[in-house]
Amino acid sequence: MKKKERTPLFQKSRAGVKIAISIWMLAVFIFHLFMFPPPLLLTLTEKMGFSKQFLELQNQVKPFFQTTDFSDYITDEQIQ
Amino acid sequence: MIFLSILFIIIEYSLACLFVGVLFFWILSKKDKKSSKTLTNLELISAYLLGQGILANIWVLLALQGWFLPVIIKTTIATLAVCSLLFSYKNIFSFFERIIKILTEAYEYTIGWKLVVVLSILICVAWVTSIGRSPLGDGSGFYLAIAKVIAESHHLAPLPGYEKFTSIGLQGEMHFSALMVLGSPAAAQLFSWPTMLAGSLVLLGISQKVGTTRRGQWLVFAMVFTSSAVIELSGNGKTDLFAAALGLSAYYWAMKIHDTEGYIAIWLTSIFAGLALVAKISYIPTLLPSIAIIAAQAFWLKHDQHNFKIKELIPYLVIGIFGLFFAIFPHLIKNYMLFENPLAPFGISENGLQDQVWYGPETIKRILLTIPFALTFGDYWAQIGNITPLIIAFFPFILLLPRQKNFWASQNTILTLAALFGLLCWFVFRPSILAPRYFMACLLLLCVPAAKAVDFFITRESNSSYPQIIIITVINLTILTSATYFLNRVFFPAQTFSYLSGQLSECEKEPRYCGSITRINQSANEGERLFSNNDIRYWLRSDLIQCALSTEETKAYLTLETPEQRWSFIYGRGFKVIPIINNWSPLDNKLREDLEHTPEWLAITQVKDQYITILTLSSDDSAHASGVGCHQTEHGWELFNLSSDS
Repeated sequence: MKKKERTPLFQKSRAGVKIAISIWMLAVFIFHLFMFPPPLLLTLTEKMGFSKQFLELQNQVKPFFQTTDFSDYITDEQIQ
Repeated sequence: MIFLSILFIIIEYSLACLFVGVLFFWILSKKDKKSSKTLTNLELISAYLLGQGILANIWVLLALQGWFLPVIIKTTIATLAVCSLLFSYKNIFSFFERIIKILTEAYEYTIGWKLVVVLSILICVAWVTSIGRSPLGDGSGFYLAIAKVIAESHHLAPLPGYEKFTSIGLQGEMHFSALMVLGSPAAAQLFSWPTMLAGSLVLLGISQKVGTTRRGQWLVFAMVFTSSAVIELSGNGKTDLFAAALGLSAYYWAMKIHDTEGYIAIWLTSIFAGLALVAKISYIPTLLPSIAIIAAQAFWLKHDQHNFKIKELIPYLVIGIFGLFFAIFPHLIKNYMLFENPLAPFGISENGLQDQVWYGPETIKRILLTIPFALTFGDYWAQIGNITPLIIAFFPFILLLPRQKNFWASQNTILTLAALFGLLCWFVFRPSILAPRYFMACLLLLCVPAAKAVDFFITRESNSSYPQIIIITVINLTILTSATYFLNRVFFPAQTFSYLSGQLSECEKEPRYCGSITRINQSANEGERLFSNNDIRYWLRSDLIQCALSTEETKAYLTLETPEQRWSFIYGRGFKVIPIINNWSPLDNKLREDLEHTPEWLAITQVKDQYITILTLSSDDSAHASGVGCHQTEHGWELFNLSSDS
């Protein structure tokens, strides 16, 4: 019996998946820019007058990706 | 002129490494010299990295005996480099021919992909500008400092202040030391660049093996050099990239087991794995299980998959163990000679290197719940960089790959599972340490499935389709933003230009402390003891580094209760010079407090600048004579008891 040809996963809803992945790619890139803004972006936000809001928002989000508590192994001197 | 000298030294040393690796290829493949001319480009790169690992091991053994003499090192390197040119020039030319061919192939790409090629090369070349970067931190505190001491004392001994830390594997450090002997600390600082470049080419080889086209391989290249965990290690004197390159080579050869005749692939897999473990002991939980998975699949593919016999496995296991042991043997000897414990750092201290726990429960929980995001966007304490956002951005394209006819026969699938399993092992054993450099080889493997999936997708899409446009835009902008983000953080073009044009000295790369360091180096007597455990030691004179404060002395000092006891201890142990760095450590803070309570028998002169206060101690009181001195022996500078000596 002839074997059925293998197809990609999500063959049927390929268009939908493409849209979803495109949005995901852009979201990841924008979030990366937001977390690690190059100097040009900071200058741009400053010139457009929302650098304060940008930094405030960053300060609210960043702690989620930062250390909030240390083990006893780490000394204050090391943290500094 | 300085740049040419750095370039010459790096090329000479690289040729020496290459010849050692090629020699091992000859031995392992039992081929004659003629067949060596047929080394493929990836074999040539592997030979270079193998030679690096073996040469570092040889340097360790020489330094343990006190034979790390300039005459031996320079002659050996020059001879090996000449041999490399004589015996491998055809391979080297064919390698560069291939590189040129690959670059000319890029002319046929679309404008977006041409830009990817150009920007990837530019961000890679930008590493040269990290010559002007200050290696202040772990680099100046240990890795470059011990290299400097070995280069000048010709002997390997525990570094004062980092005694137990000297039990780690010394791979990058020995290369640094050899390059310093050749006369270029800047070449040492830059040497992680050709190493990681070679490592990234091996990763391209891995992606080629799983069927990625040239365009996909350029994407892998871009992924490596937009990973901040890789960029951050450029020119900072740390040695993690040596382990990454060796680890990637181990993965490559593990995949090659199934299509390589004889046992050379398993030999190389195990030797590279051993060298990677020596270079970074933290690779144990990620490298070993993931290599085992990849090697098991390769073995299964090589042999009859339906009629498996255990006896076919035995030679592979035996060679694997031998190869691993061969690679780590010099490290075991070193630790036996220095610490009487070949397995150090295991078992040399309570709360030792292998027992590290960095974060508290709240942070650990958050990391475990967000592992891929923490690895991409994390800014945790001591994390030092992330993986490229391109991996996480492109990973969903895996959903659009065709389903495999035989799941277990797909090298891409097994490679992905092995990398994920390796990472899982890390987070099971070490959830409290989020540092991509601790498992970088395993982590970088994830570039391959993401790039392959994108590669597969774009070969079936028209160039003007919107996902294709988004893909190209995201890649190019990621390279551009990464490069600009690290400008004057890692890449210092202006400072590098000043250094290369002779306007900036090695010490002036660290402008805050250079003035004080120079003052100490010029005024301190030979064998003077410095009461200091900070990271400026790399720029100090070699004798001052070797005679400086030990860990045991620091511990003893911190247990003392009164200023009088502490000053007596300092002076009694022969310390005459104390550099206090502002807000550096409890030791420095305590010293600053004690300055308010100096005893009458002790005279202290202070020289201050914005960053450092240098104290010079003297006393005429015979009741407080120094009991410890530091003198030069055949093993370098060593402490001795003044009272017993007299």
